[in-house]
Amino acid sequence: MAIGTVRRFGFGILPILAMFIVLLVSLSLMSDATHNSERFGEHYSWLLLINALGLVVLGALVVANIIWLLGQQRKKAAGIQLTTRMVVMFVVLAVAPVSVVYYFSLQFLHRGIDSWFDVRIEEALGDALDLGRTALDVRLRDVLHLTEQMADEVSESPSATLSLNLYDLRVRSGAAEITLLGSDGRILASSSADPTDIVPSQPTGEMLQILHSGRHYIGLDPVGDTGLYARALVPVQSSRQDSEVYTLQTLFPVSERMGMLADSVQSAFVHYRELAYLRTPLKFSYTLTLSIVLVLSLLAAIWMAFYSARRLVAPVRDLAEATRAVAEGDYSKRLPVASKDELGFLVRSFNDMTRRLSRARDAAQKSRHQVESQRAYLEAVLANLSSGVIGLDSDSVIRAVNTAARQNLGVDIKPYLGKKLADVGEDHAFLTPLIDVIASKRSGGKQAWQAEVTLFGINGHQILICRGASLKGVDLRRGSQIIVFDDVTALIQAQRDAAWGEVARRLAHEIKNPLTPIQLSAERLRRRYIDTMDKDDVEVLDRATRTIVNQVEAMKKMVNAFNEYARAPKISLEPIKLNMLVNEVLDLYRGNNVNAAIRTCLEAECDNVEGDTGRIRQLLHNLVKNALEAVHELDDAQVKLSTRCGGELDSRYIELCVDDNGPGFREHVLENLFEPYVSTKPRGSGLGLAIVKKIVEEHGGMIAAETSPEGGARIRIRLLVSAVAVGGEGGEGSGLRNSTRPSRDAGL
Amino acid sequence: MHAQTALVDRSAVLDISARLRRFLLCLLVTLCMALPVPLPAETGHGAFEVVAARTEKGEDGYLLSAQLDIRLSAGAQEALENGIPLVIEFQIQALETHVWLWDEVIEEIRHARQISYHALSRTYVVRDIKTGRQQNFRSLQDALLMAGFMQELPVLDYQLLEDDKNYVMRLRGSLDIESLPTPVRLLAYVSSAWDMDSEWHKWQLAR
Repeated sequence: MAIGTVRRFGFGILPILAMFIVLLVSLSLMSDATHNSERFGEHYSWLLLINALGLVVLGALVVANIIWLLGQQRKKAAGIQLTTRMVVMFVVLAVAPVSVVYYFSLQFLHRGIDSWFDVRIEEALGDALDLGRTALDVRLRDVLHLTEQMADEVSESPSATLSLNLYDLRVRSGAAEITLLGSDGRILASSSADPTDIVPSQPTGEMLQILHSGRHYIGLDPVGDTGLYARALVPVQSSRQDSEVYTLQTLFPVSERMGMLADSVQSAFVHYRELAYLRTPLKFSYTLTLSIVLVLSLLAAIWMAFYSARRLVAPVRDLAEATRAVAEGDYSKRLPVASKDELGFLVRSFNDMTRRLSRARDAAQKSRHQVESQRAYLEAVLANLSSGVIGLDSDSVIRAVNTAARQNLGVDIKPYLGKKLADVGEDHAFLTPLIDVIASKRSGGKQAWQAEVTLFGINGHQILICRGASLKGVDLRRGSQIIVFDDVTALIQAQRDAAWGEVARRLAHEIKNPLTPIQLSAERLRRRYIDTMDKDDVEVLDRATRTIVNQVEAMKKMVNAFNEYARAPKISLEPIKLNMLVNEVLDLYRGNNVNAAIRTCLEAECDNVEGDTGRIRQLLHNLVKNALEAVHELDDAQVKLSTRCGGELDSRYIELCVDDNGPGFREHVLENLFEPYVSTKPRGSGLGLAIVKKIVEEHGGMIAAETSPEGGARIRIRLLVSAVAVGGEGGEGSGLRNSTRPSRDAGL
Repeated sequence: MHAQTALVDRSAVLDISARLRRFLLCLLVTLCMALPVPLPAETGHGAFEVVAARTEKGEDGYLLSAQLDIRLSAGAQEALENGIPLVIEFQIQALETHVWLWDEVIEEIRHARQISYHALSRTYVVRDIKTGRQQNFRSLQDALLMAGFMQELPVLDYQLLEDDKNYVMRLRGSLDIESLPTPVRLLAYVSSAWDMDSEWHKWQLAR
């Protein structure tokens, strides 16, 4: 608070102006006191002190300002260089003329004081004084003569009438006072013209000494304000017996005219002598006053220089600070418009500029918000799409990806944003078919394309419909594409199942229903006519009807088998050890009139799968039976079942291969091998491999048929390895599986 | 008693104020000596000294008789001869003494006499400022002797005294610088030639 008060006091204009005025008044009084010591003379020393204190205060203010300036310079405050320059300029502008005026004033002052004095005037005044003395001497001699005469008269006078005689003498002679003194200085008698003057004026020892030396005393006596008196002392020889020597003292006023003239000469002379004596002290005191005025002016000018510089630079400093703030991004800065001059105009322009900048920034922010919200909207749309979306730029770098892509592919693509699509393939080999398709289609240069891709990955067997389109009207380089892919595995499966279901229903309705009347009719024909016919005809009839019945029976079986294929049984998944199941199934065939050598090579350690035991068993039976049927005519018939593990950590599978050394598959058969009613065997139903494929697909597996290098047929089945071992924590494992493949089970 | 205390305070304040002012001015003028004006060289130191002082019992109170030896410095004498009147001031104090405390001023009297030179009559005029009585002397010595002489000046009323207390009188004489013309005053503040104050002369008040 004290600092604040000092600061306010130090930097406010009003207190300083008040102090200037006080100091100026004090200086003028001091100057007056130097001239005329009667008016302010007694306060001169106080005035001098007040001025000195004022100077000290001003000096302290200036020093404080200089310290402030240095501090600001050290801090490199805004506008301080300009302030310093202005202060220096103002100070130089003030100091130079004031110093010149001071120098010449001093010169004039000293010469002026010196010019008061002239030797001739001094001599003239001395002469006038001598003249006065000479003129008065005449009067003094008259007074002495008169006093001597009076002394004679007094010596004759008797003691009793002494006072009366003195009175008589005084009135006659016109003296102001006559006193008779004894030899010891006692007043014997006295008479005075002034009745209030009770005590007569006594002679000094010096006068009496002159008298004692035998001389008469005569001299001028200045008496207070009443003027000059001539004093005479004459011894009186008493005629009386005591022979005592008395002294007669007379005081005669100098005539009024002469007294006035003498007084005038005396005062002029004294005044001149006094002035001459005071010449040097006067110079000193005038110089002191002038110097105080100089110092006061200089300090005031310096302070004003600081004050003005600060006031002038303040808007510039504010502007500099505000500009710095704007440069740092703060557009809210507004400066107060203090003046209407060019600086005020500048400040107004600055305020306009920041206002516009602020508005522009707000608009930019608003549009950015809009863009962001649109982007967020787009992302939300993409995220809620069931189709996977991947954006690629011209260098096949992934620029965008949605969450459905992860669900569809089973791989989180987001970490690969900014990386090449091929990098995903390196880390996840099962995606290679998709990546290859995309690469080949992009290199084809079409604006839009579509392809079906089959993957075998984390989600098992997958069929993806991929669509690519070049991005137009987007600020990207040419060649950017958006890839949209849908997992249609379940859809295709469902369509196929539905188609076969419809076929089965129709078969049942259109074929199976007439079969029973046909069979019954054939049996009735046989029964009715067998007894009435001759032996040859009977044989024909019997054979014909039996054929009809057998064929109808065969057709019934066929329809039932097909119906069984087409219906969609619910599978119940459980952990299975595949190797063990294979051995169990093979045990039924070994040594049971089987002429083929059945070998196994069950090496897979990862044989834990989740599946329906009955369906998998049926799958194995079908495959083994198929293989045995393919080789039953060979001498060295061989059937081999082998398992092995494959895939990566997150998509491990077990591969089951069933090899035989039969004739293998012909090329045109291979394309439709797994479709119903496709068979290489003359008596085959054509449903064996179709059912196998169906079971594999129900388990999310993959099946392939090929001709082995040795020339035989080879069926390869891949099933996903369960994360949980058989007999382990099956609940948790199945839960995990269900969560990763929810749609597959439902679809099947 | 109250009157006495007030007197003590006022005199103390006057004394301190005068001393402070004198010190500050002395400092200021010393600093100003750097100004480009040659000041008159001071020669011949003067001094005041109380050579004798005593109090006698009068009708209503004590009467002071004293002799102050006044030796003017050359500067002061020159000023006097050039028509500048000098004022000699006597400061007379009555103190009540205490064993453990400061002495207390119970009465103070200032008495002043002016010496001036009358050129026409070539006399030195000594005037008592209070009474206005004046005496003229042909020689300066006589004038100074007269100016420093006091006879039976009433200084202390009996009523101010209490029986069981001890009192001391003291006297000093000085040249009143404040009565000098302003230009001379500046010099007088700093020049030792104008500092002719006597020491305090102290004596026991005879009861």
